Amino acid sequence: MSDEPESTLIERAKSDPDAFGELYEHYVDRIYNYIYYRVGNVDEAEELTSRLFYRVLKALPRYVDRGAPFASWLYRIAHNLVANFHRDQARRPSVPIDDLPLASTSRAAPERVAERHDTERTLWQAINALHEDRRQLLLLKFGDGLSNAQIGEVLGRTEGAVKSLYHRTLLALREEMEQRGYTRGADGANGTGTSEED
Amino acid sequence: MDDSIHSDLLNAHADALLQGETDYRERYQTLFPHQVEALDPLFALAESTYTLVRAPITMRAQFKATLKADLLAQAHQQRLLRRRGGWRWAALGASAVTVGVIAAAAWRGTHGAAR
Repeated sequence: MSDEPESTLIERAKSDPDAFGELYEHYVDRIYNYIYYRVGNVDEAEELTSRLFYRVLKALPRYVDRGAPFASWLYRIAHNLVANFHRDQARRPSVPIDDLPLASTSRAAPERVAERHDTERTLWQAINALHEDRRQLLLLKFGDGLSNAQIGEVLGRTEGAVKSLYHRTLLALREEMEQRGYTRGADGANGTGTSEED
Repeated sequence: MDDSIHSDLLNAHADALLQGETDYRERYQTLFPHQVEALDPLFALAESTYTLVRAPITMRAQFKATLKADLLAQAHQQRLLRRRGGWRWAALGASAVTVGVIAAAAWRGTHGAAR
């Protein structure tokens, strides 16, 4: 984005297509990532990303800056779109694990890489088994780097509530991992965390 | 009490992760030795989750470019429609004023002649 303050760019984008193009360039990757992690499929992620930006284009002239970051507004639309998508599909929002990217690199020994991939798949399964709000909290916090206050805007909760939710989310995630045979989070012998080999 | 401290420590740890700080545990170990020890598995889990969901996803460049072009075309069209809409209202307003002026003149003419 240019040096122009975001609020000015948003005001311009209400009537200037080029300014809208700048906003698009600034946010499209983040929004796509967020949606992709929620649906786990390129075609569906593209479809929903596309719908989101058309919705933004239509609603932007009525957008009023009330102090919350513009990104929170976008994530809220994305959240609603994904929720509707899962409702329409009449299924629990589950993400096909095999489609999701794995973090480990291939520089380590092959057996170590395979072991890590297993752990990462298990971790994805555990994240996927969490309640919708908890899964979303992890994606917004770690995937998008949003603060608790911003996450609160998206989830319709207070900052304090998000803080406690994070604690409960990690406890629930640990339980999910334990049910899958991991006794110490996802690190240690079965770890996915970074190590000297990476 | 512990729950609240645990919650604070876990959130501070997440913030440290996001800011790329690596000495989190050392910093808090002296202040809250027991809590930090108890929370160690959750710190590890948070770190693994952070690493996993940060894995980059590359969007198809063609999709990104095509969507942008379509959106810009739509934005131009919307702007045009808004302008046309504006002109229509302006024309309607002008017509209403003209009709009003003519009606007022006619009324004056009629009443003037009657006097």
